[in-house]
Amino acid sequence: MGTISAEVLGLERLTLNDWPRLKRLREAHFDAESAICLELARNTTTFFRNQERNAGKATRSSDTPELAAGKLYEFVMSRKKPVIDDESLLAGTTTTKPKGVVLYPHFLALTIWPELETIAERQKNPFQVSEKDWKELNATIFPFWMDGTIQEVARKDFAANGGTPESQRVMERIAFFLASKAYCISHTIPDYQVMLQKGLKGIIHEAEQKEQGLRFTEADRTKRDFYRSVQHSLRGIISYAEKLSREAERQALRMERKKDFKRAGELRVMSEYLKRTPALPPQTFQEALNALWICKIALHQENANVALSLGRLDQILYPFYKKDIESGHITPRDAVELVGCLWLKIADHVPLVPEASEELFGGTGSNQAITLGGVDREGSDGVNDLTYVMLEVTELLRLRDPNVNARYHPIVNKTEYRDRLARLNLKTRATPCFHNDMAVVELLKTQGVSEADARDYGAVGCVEPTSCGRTYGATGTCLVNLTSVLELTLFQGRHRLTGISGADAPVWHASPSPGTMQSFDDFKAAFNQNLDWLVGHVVQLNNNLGITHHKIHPTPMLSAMMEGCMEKGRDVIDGGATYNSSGVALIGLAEVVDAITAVEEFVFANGNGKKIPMPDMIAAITTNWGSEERDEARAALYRKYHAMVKTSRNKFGYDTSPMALKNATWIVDRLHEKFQARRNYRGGPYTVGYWTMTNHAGFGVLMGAFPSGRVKGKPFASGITPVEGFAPELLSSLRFVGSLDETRHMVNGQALNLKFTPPPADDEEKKAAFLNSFSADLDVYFKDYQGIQVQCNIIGREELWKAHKNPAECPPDLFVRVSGYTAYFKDLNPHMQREIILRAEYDIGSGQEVWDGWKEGAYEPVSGAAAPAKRRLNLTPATRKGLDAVMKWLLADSAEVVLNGLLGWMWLQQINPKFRGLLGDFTGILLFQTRDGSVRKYVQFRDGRLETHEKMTEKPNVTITFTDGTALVNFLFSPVRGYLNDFIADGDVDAQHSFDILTGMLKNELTVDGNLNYLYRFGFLANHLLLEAFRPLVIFS
Amino acid sequence: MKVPLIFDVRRGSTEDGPGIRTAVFFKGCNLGCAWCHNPESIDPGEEIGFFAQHCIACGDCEKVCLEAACRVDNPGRIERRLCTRCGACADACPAKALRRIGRPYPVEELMELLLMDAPFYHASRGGVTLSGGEPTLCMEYAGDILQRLQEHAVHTAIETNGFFAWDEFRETILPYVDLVMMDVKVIDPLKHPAFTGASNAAHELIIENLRRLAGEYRSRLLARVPLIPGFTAETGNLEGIAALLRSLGLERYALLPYNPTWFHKAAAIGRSTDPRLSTRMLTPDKLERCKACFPGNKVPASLPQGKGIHTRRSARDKEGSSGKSGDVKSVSKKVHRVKTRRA
Repeated sequence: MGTISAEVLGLERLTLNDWPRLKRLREAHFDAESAICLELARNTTTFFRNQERNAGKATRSSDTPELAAGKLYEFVMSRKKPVIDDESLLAGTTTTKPKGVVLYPHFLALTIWPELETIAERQKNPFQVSEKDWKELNATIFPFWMDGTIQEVARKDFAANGGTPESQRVMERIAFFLASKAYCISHTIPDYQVMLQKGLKGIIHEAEQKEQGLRFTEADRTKRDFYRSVQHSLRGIISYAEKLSREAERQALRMERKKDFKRAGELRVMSEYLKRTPALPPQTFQEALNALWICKIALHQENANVALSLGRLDQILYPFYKKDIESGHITPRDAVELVGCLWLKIADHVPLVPEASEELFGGTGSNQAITLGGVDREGSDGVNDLTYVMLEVTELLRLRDPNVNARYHPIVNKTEYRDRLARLNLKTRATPCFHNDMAVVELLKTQGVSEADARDYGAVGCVEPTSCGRTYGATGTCLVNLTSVLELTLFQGRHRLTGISGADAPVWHASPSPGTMQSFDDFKAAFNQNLDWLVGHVVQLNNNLGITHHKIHPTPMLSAMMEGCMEKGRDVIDGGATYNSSGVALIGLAEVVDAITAVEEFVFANGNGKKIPMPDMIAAITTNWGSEERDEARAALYRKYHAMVKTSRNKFGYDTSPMALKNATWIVDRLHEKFQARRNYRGGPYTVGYWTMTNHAGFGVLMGAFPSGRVKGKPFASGITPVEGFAPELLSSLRFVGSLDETRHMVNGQALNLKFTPPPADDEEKKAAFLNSFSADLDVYFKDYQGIQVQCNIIGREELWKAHKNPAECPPDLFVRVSGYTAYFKDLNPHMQREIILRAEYDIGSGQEVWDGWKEGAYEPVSGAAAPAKRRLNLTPATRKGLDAVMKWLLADSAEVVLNGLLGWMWLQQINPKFRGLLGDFTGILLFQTRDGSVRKYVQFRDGRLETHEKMTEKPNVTITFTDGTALVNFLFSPVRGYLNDFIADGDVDAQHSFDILTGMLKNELTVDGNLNYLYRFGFLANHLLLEAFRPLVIFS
Repeated sequence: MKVPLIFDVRRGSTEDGPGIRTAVFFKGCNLGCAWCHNPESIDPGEEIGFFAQHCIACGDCEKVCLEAACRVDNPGRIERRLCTRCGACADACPAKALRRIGRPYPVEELMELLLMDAPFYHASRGGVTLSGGEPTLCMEYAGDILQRLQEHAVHTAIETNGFFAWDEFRETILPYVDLVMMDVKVIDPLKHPAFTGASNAAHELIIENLRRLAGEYRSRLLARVPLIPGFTAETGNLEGIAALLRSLGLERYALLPYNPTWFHKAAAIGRSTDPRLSTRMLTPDKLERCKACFPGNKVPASLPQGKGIHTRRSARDKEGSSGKSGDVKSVSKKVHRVKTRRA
């Protein structure tokens, strides 16, 4: 390989107009609205209902979780509706909608319960859902899962071990870390090659043979169930393919009647091959693409698609491509069309994001990574014609999903390939990102991966490298907010945001007072101690969730397509894969290094003659560098300190600062040591990476000032990128970050985000100069400094700023690299947009950061929503003023009145048949209380009847504790804040109050103890009533 | 050896010669062109700059100033008449709004800084550029740096105004420099003093030096013409320069369009700007008219990138030239061109 045919190279000159089918499909994709699809949730619920009914007849169900899972997916797949899009060359869809949102009842589906009625109208990322559908969800689907979600089962399991454990409570604070296992088993690359080579029947046959070789011991019983479940679930996939074949046949007949013989011919071809594949190995390139896609659809039914990545498609599909090209069956232009259809299919669904999570995850796609290029298993150049075809498709379509990752070996791969990638980056402005084969292979080898397997790595999700098809790396296990450790160290185990100290909540760890520390070593020791505490909780919680997963949600289809599982007779979740590990990602490395270095330089060392005593430093950051200090003299002093630390050149990203480099290495090494020493529930090690998705913006907005000079509420720098304004030289940043991983401790990947000022679009000479420097920087960063990964935005601040200010004029396909993945700019929440605009931007001409004019304060504060709140009511100023006063009083100190009012009204509404219908047979007890005990109210539902009590002896299903009355009222009014924005004349309610559970928990306004699903259900009912009450106002006004 | 002050070492620039480069800015110049975009480079001594946007008005400078030259109520902070440039205010300033401009770099320290980015130079066919100010004011120091860089196989370039003693330049600088970028500003000797603050004799010497370089060292020369509206960007001047370059057989030269973004730097050091200077960039129209004065100009009017002017010595060559300052010819023979891809 290595020599690319002239015809493939010539593709770069063509545009999307040369592929009218792709152009139309792309337009349809961008026009489609995201809509909630009930199919999977409905089928899964029906399956378990049937099983329960059958189990009722027998004394007990004899199916183990493994076997039940196999039967479930056979049921789900064979009942799946076969859909063939109007024009696509590939059959099958993830959902029944053009752009669907899958509801996974095991996982997060219930979190949208409260907003079912309003989800279609919300400001960011609305999801369409019909009234019939949400009524079905509320009446029959969701109630079935109230005690059956992974999170709930895991919580009960902890409870069985003696109360809610500490780690769960720490996680619920959100400010420390997020655990993704509650959503799914994903973040991995399945082995599609085994399917392409053997066909699903081949795998079934293998499972049958293995099953026959087993004995009748207890140990072999689990294995037998595993093999049986593989057979069941794969048969489900085959029957789905057969249904697609019949559907194609039916559509072909219709097309023939319409005299569209071209399309009819295409459909007949599909119908023909779908009869035999993926049951049997595919024969042509198109068949291979379709077989792969059908298997991917099946995996989407099994687990939520969070970074279920595709691996090295240019390698595994190349034999099919080569055969078809050589036989003259297709041309490279046809291949572009086929691959384009796959790319658009991959983007046919979007993840479910409850409104509350928009703050942290908003705008992210499913992060399905595709990896191209690099070296092959033998270490020689793996770039082939298909690599170029896939790059061309990426250039033509500019989609957020799939997330295209390019591997590049600066010695083995050719410069033409590198230059193609550079040009592609300049054209698309954000993709693909680059992975360094030289460094990554060495990284994986430190984890016991064989050299050939290490060379066969692919990116998972954002950036995480894992050996394709044989590793269950769970690379997005937990996202850890590293700055929270700094916070605990500076404030004696107290957390400014959550406000809870070691004394009043024993779960919190108290470290020595910083004032008593004699040396920087003391400070580091305290930091280390807090880090230990947090690592312990992260690991404990993830392991507990893993065990629960194994108990109730095995994954037979993923296991069938993962090297090692068939051999061992074990599910992926049970450690079946050849390589097992769990990856965590750290947020805020640069911020923490800068802060620690400032403490060393100014508090413990001499600080160049300028010293800051520790108590002053703490006081300065507590008052956000004097801006919240009343005493003007002290405020002036803190401003001076701020200027001192801010202008210090001992910062993450200055290669001339040994102090910063030493501290950065110290933290990276400690994290690696601590996590590698732990074992996950599958017996594998934990690995550490540095990428942040959108969370650095969300967490940053919530955190206070740090000794680094950071001001309160600013988004953190993303990934492993230096803080903007603190590392003004491009080469210096590259050398600093590159020298961080000489120890090979960033096994779970890193995302170095670089933003460049683009060269003028019409100046070919400047573009050539840009590409020359860009390629040279890349080569040196990879070859001389062994950098792991780098990704770019080649887009100027002005353009992004314009899109941020006028969301209506932002083109829907303007896409940017966030931290590891690409997203459409318009989908991102305002904090994230702001972070991308502020993010360090380098002018490749001067080699310096472009910073003047974009300093802190160049922005007006960002409100909760980018677009001004929609005015729903047309009120006269006088009315508005009156309502304003009423609402302010309500929001101020009348929690009890509001709560009683709502509950009283809910009680009255029971006679309303419509509301009774929504209540269904709800049975459960909720307790609402304020922390000071001023409000305490039990709400009991019994078969859909409501009662309230001041006291009860029974234990409530869920207890919701609010910091004070305001928090409670905020929470209760959350569904109608669009209306509240109308009443409150002088501001945006969203900006001042948090209204939902997650944000409330994040800001420590409320804590929830117990089964959250009861709260979600109650939330739905309360929302419904409030909406009913407020809607007539629209008619009156 | 006369050690100059250096006011900036700019890493990663692609604007000071081919490829990715580090540019070293010498302080001190024997001309004083009205349009100089590095106004802080003209005075050879240390200056105190005040960058208002960083000031937090804490008043620490006022407290330490012995001459009462620093005052917070003065918008420019420093009363330059009273200032002795002792630098106490800059040392006291917590926000680095007051800064000392220019400091001496021992050769070793500078070399360490320059060699840090050597891989980037090699990968992009870049290197190091000595700029200023006027680097030829300290030829011995400059020559030492250039020679050491060549020993490390780094491409070297110098930016000069051409106002130097030829013999010394030929002996100290030329053997160690791969690219000489020389400004050609004014063709009419009578206008020279008014534009550059230097005599007619200076003008003669500059043109003579250009002739000499264009002779034996043509392959290493890049003549550059700054286009300053109201000064050099006049048809008569440009046509005269074009004719001169043609007569010297110089096919390769660059036009440098005016850029007024340096005004704030002049303000920072309390230097007044010539009122005749435009505050706007050159318009595209005007630029086209300027370009039209150079008919038959085959190369693009801006800086050429990379190819053909990069030199790299192999390790064997380095050993060969260990007897340091060999005569000019023997050394320049060893400077051969290599079409590089990557190391």
